[in-house]
Amino acid sequence: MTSNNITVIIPIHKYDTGISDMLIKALESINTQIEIELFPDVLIVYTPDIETDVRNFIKVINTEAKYKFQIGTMINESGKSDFQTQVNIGAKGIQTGFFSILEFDDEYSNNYFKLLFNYIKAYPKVDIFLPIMVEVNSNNQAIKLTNELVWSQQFVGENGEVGFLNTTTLEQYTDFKISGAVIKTQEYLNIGGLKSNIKLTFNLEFLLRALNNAFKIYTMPKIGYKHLSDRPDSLNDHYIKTMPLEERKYWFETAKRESNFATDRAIGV
Amino acid sequence: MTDIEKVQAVAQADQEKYNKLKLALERMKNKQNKILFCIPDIPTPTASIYEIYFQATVMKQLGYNVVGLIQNHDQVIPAWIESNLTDFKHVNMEKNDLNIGPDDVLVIPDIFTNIMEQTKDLPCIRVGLLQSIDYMVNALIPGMDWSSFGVQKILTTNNNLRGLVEEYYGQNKFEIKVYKIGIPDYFKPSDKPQRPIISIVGRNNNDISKIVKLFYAKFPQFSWVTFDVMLTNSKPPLPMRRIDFANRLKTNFAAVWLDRLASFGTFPLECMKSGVIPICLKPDICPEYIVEKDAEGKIRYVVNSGIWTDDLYSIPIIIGDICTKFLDDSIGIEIYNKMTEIAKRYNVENSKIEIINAYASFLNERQGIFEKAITDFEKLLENNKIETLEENKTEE
Repeated sequence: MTSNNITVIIPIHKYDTGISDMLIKALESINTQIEIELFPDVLIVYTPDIETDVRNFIKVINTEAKYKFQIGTMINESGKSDFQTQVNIGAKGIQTGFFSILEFDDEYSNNYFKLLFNYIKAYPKVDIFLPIMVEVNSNNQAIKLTNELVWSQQFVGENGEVGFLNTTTLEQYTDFKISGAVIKTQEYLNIGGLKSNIKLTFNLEFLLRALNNAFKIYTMPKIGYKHLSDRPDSLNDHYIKTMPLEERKYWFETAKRESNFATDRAIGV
Repeated sequence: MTDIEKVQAVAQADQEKYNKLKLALERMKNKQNKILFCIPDIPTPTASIYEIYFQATVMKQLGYNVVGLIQNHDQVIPAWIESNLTDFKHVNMEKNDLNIGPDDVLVIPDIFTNIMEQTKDLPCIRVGLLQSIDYMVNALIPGMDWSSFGVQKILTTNNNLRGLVEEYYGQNKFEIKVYKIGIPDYFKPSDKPQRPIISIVGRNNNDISKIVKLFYAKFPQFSWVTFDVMLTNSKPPLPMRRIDFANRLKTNFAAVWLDRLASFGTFPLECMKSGVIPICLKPDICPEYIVEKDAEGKIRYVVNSGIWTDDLYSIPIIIGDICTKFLDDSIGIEIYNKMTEIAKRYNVENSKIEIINAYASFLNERQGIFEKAITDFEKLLENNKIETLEENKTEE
C-alpha cells in the first residue's frame, strides 16, 4: 500500500484498556474511509514508559486487523510528554507533505479524506485545512460545532473572506482547534510547530502565529472530525478542574503575546 | 371628374398599392423590415426583460432591423444584461417619427395592454409576448382579452401559459407559438467545492426576512450559515449583471426561491444548471419542468428536481435539513444528475431555433398574404389593361 502524502500523527502518553479501545476506534475511522484509493500513513508517537504496551498493541492489531494503511511508531525520548511536544516530534519524523493530528479518543468522518483531496486540489495555496469538528460528550451526543465560524461574514469581518481564518475572527472567538486539521509539514516546522510552554491556549497561539506568518487557513465546510470533549483525565478535563479563571485569562493573554515570537520561550505563571 | 378620369384615378391607386406591396414584400425578403420590441422600464433584473433582449438579439443576428421601443426618454438600458444582447437601436416610443409598415413586426409584452390598444390600427404584424399571466390579466377589464385590441398572435415561453389562454379565452382564438427559454452556458457548476451559503431570492422581501429569521430561531447551531440576497457587495448593494449573478450563484450550495406569482420559474433552472439545490415555494403555476406524465398518463412530480413545497413555513426546516446533509456530504448524486438532465432541455441553441421558427411563422404568413395580394392585383391590373384596350378599340 502506498501513502497519499499525508501522515496521521497519533500522540499517546498513557496506556490502558480504555485507551486501547479508543485507539482502535480512532484507527478504524481511518480504515473505513470511503472512495479513496490511497490511505494516509499513520504514526503513533509515544513516551518511553508505555513502550511495551504500545509494541504489544501494534503486534496485536497487525495480527488481527486488516488495515489499509501503514502504522509506524516513534518513541518520544525528549522527556516531555505533553501533546505539543509529541506532535512536533512526529512532524519532524515524517516524509509526507501533509500531516494531520488524530487524538486517540477522536475519530475522522468516513468521508474526510475523500473530501480533503478535493479541497487540497481546489485550494493548493492553503497551508492548514481545518475540518468542522463536532464535539461530543461521553454518551456520543453532539454538543457543539467547532471551527465553523469562519463561514460567517460577521466573524471574518467586512474585509475578510468567508471560509478563511483571520485575526479578526480569532480576536472574537478563540476556540479554534487544530486536531483533525491537515497541515503542510514543512510550513509547520518552519514556524516552530506547537509550543509546549503554552498551556490551555496552545491551539490559539499556534493559529495566531501561523496567521502572523501569512499562513492561509481554511475551514472545509464539512463535518470531518468527532472530538470527545469531556473524557475524564483528558488535558481539557484537567484544565477545567484545576485551572482558576484568572490563570485561564492569563493563558489567553500569553497566547496573543507569544504568537509574535517564533521560539517556544519559557513562561512563568 | 369624368368617368375616364375616375377609372384612371382608381387604376393609379391600385398601382400605388401594388407598388407598396411589392416594396414591402421585397423588404421582407431582404430582411429590411423592422422588428420592434416594446421594452418595459423595469430596473430590477427579471427573466422577462432578459427574454425580450434575447429575442431581439436572435432576430438581429438573423439580419433583421431590430429596434427597441423604450417607455421613457430617461429609461436606462439594463446594465445587468450582457452588452452584446443590448446592442441595437433604442427609440423612445413616445416619439412619433417612427414609420411602421405592414411588413414590420411589433412585439408587445404582456405588461403593455395600453400599447396593444394604442397600436390597434397599425398595419404591422403585432405579437403579444406572454410571459406572465398576472400581467396579462391584471391590465384587462372583465370581458376583454388581447383580441379586443386586434392582437391575434401570441408568443409565450411555456405550455402552461398557452393552456391557460386556451382554457379561459378559447381554443384557436389566438395563434400561439411556444418556445423554450435558454439558460446561458455561463450558468455552470463551480470548479471549486461549494460554500455553506444559501442564495435567497423572491418577489416579497418580507417573506425572505421571515424565512431567514425562522431558520435562525429553529437552528441556532447554524447561526453561522449565511444567506446571500444576490446583490453586489457595493454600497448601496445593486443588482448584479447576469453573468456575475451566475458566477456567484454556483459557489453557494443551495438557493431558496419564493415567488408564488411566477409564470415559469427561470431561477430554479439557473440553479439546476449551476449544480445548486433549489428550495422552492411552489408557484400557483407549477413549472412544467417539475411535472411529468407517468406510464398511465397521470401527472406526477419529477423526483429529484430540487426541493419543492406548498408550505412557506416548512422552508426553514427544509433549509436546516439540507444544511445538515451538506455538512455531512450526504446529498445524493441523483439530485445533481436529475437537475443537469432538466437544465439541458433549456439550452440557448434550442431556444434560438424555436424563436427563429416562431418569428418565421409570423413573417411567412404575412409574406404569403402579400404574395397573394400581389397576384390578385396583377390579375386586376391585367384586366384593367385589357378593358382599357377594348374601350380604346370601341372608341376607334
